[in-house]
Amino acid sequence: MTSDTPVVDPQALLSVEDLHVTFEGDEGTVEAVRGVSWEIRPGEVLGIVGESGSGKSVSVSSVLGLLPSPPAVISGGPVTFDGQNLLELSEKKLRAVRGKKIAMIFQDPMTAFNPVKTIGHQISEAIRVHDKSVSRSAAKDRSIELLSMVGVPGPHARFSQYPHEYSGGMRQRAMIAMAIANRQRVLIADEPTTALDVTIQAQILELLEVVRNETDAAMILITHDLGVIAEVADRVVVMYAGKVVESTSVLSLFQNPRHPYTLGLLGSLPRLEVRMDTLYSIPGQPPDMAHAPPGCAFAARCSLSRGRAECRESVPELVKVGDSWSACHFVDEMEIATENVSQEIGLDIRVGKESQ
Amino acid sequence: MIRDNGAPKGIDAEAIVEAAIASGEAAIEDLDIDDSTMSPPRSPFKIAVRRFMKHRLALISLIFVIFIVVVALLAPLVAPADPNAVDLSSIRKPPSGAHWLGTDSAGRDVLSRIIYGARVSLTVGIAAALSAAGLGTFLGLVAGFTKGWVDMVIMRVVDIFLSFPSLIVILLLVAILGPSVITIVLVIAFFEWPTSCRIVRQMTLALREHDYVLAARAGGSSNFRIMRRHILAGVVSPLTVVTTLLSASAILLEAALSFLGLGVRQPQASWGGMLNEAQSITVLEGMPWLWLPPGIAIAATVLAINFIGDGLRDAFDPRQTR
Repeated sequence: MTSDTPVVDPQALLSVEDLHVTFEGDEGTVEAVRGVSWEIRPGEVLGIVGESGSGKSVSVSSVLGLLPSPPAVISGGPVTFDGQNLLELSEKKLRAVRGKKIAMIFQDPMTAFNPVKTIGHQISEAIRVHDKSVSRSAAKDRSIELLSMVGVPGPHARFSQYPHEYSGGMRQRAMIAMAIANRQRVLIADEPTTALDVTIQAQILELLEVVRNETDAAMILITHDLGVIAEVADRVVVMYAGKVVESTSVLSLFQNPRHPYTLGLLGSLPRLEVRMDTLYSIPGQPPDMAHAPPGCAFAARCSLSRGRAECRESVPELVKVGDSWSACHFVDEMEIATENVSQEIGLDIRVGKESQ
Repeated sequence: MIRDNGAPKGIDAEAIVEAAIASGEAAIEDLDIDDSTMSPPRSPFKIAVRRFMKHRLALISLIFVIFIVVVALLAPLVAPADPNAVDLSSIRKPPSGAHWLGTDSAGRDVLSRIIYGARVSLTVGIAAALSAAGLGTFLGLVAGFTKGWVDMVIMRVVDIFLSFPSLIVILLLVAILGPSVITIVLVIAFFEWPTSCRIVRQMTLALREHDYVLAARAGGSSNFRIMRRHILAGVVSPLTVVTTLLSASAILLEAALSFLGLGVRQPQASWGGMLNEAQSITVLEGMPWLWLPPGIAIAATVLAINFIGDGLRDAFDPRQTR
């Protein structure tokens, strides 16, 4: 397994190797993440795509030790950041990393702020947690500066307002301000636009881009929205049932999908170019992770497998195909499959980023 | 023809849309005006204060309790006589111009003793409630936040305390330790903390699951800091209510102890101690000025504090009405 996984790049800022996360529940053990590896280089945007329950959020939360344990059990690794294995750090040392070097932006800005404290108080708090030498007034000045940086109008007045006085988009801006308060090196955005209006989504993505350029940080963007990926990411990791099924640059993902699951995702994007009465969809349901199938987890839903025994019986390894890494037994049939899906939709889905 | 018909209709529609937009803008302007007049009381605390002010009974009760507190504080200035001045020439005299509420069995002025007695009742009530709430909050936070075996141990201790017949144990403890205001406060606090502990633990269990706690953790806050900054802030409102009600029951307990002769030492005046005199049939039947005033003082104060508690509860949580 390890010999076929991508070799860790020495330049990587944060790398995860063969990470496993299981949840010990009353109804048995759920394997949420089953041997995931990825790395991120300075200044890069890594997109992690997958549907609900594919283990994308869990894998990232476990990097920062944010999963409650029990029930979560983390094994594998190492998770390397700054020459340290984050999985082996003491809680105290890990606290110095959280929010300071690796910061997180949460999905729902409505619930990620404490409703009984002012936004300004909470941003100042985020600064003072890591540097107690910062005075209250200095933290306030910095918070106001951050609020204006993320485009919150009237930051002086907004500083002393409560979360309920902010709109959803404004709250997400404030959350970004809080995340970048300590000039972090890695920014983890867990579905940062999912809870927002479509019109606000674009603004927030743009803001993330601006903020990232300004702070020169790497960003991990977790999403189930390929549109967001196309917009922001440099490289993409596609996850399915707790495993990486494809890992590639954003351009080859859209031009040359190397896994039938990726193909299914691309095919199911709504298109403006052609009239579609129904959207293409991937049949079936993701497997129950308490009883993961012995072979390829995607086999039952796969358009490529057609019930072949190999898919059902053996787990495909992540292997290098061209510029991509793919975990499919029949990756060489992908070209034809892509043709087929394109024909079904009536549009060549292999459009590059530039033609969109 | 059809086109001719269509045109005026189109204009109509446009007019309607324009009117709608105009009314929408007006509505938004209204909102703005509303917003500016409503904007000052926006913090949760200010909103609660505003709601409390609307609770008539609680407000009157608050004024009453403040009045008693002020009288107790200014006792030397307010009291007409020395509460401990024995005058054997006027024993058990009914109310008169010289002694508004009469005199007791040692010829002491009842009104003065009521005023000085308020000091004991209020001190015990407030101090015992605060210590009980403090202990209960600390243990409740720890139990709710750490979960696991710590929680188990603390909650079993709570169960044990709640299953004691507390009055009898308190009586015993006070008898052993010797009656004084400090012992009474400590002993009452020692038996009253489980209520607040349970409530705080319950709240903590709910609050710790909030996203903002996870966000604080992701931001590098320690557990202690999260407890202090986030959990405690969420617990404060129900805790205030409980503390208020606790102080009422502490006042009652002190009165009961003093009535049974285990309160503060004579000759120091306390409401419960004054009631002690009503143990004699002659006093009970013929001299209501000896027991009615302290009885009314206890009942009124406890009632007022309970009303304040009700008002606070409604102010903090308007959904929970009675």
